[in-house]
Amino acid sequence: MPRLQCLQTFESLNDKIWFTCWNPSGTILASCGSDKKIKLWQRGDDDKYVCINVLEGSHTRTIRSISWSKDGKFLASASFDATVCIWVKRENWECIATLEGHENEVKSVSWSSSGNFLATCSRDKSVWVWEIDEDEAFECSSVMNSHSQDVKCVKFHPNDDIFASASYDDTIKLYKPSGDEWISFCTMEGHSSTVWCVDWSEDGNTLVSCGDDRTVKLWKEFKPSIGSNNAIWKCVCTLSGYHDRPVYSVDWCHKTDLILTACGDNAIRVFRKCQTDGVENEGGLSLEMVAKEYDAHKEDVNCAAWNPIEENILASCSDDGMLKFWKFIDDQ
Amino acid sequence: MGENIEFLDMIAMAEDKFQKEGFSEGFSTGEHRGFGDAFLLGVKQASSCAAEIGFYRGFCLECRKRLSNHNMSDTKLKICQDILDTLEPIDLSNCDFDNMLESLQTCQAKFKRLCALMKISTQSSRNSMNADMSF
Repeated sequence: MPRLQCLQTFESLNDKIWFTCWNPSGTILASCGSDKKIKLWQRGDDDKYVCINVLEGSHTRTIRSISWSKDGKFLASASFDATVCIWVKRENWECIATLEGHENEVKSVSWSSSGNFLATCSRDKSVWVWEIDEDEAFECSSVMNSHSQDVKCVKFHPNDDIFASASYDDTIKLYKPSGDEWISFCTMEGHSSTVWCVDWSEDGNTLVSCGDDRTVKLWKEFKPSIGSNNAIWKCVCTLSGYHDRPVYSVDWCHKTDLILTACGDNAIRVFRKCQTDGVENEGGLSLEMVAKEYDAHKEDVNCAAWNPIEENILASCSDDGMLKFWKFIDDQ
Repeated sequence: MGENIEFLDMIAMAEDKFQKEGFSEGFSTGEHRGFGDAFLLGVKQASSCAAEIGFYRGFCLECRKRLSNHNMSDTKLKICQDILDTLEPIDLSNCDFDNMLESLQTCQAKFKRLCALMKISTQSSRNSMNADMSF
């Protein structure tokens, strides 16, 4: 029977860990939280993960989210101090830019696959896009007030210059470049409460979202009909009844196609997409739960992330101050 | 006998009658006060909108002039012009102007971008004009 096996646990006393993500080559894990530090973790010769770097001194409040550039050279961090910092690895990790403009807490940051753009979102209800030039200078290329409430998450498409945002206004919006600015071209309505997180499938044709309504939804792109420019995104699967509290994070593994959720009920769960008998089926897709770890943490699990290269390795972090490394053992 | 019954009916119906009269009087007073409060709120919000529009217009006109004199970045100049073009059709004398709030939201987003490009905070640029501005 498939299961999750805890490999290692690190505890940070009195500090919540808000976010964790792997670099694109899957060799380094970054984590951040209320201690205003970014910690980088790497597996040592003895096969154990160790903290190899601590990036600090640039943010004055909690670091809420981090994102690696696709080439793994840059790391962006979004903080409740209303700024976004850009870190680069030279001899040591250095903060090379501080992006200011949001009026209050920055909640999420995401790097485009082309490496040319960075999207950020904030409690000030706005979504910003920053363009990076060859000299590593960052310039604001768009500010969008398309959401009516706090924006919780932004996530770039795996291949194209398109990104999604999720908000407290219960909607998901998609954005694309238009002329020298960016525009919102699609709104997805279906969640009955805050949408906390979104992620893309490997081909970018499907989006997964999770939220305060304790559901996980799959949204599929339907190509535009003749005479229409924009594709339509429709909800094709709603997974309910599995999560007992809000679902804070969702991560779609591009190697195994497994979907990982982190939930306020202290659990992490693994779901597999399938075409036939499943939990619910609306338009050909369904999800089945293949593994769960009920007491993965002692408090809300804020984030869980698959290693993008090393199959079935994942990490999770929580309000309990713990960062855990896991292995998904698939006996099927 | 008939007069007595009528008199008794009046006593029996008095509570109902006074309740209705009291409600009408209370409603009328409340309506009058409500109109007054609504008028004051409207004046306050409209003056805030107008002040914001005036601020953007003044800021962008001056900014456009300075940027043109120094042959500065086309992007900043273009945003200034975009804001001015968005504000241009707004008829301040017509409170029913349909797109006023929508245009204002567009300008707010463009103004934030302009401030980010000029590396100034939106708050300090507003404060330099008037510390009491709320937008």
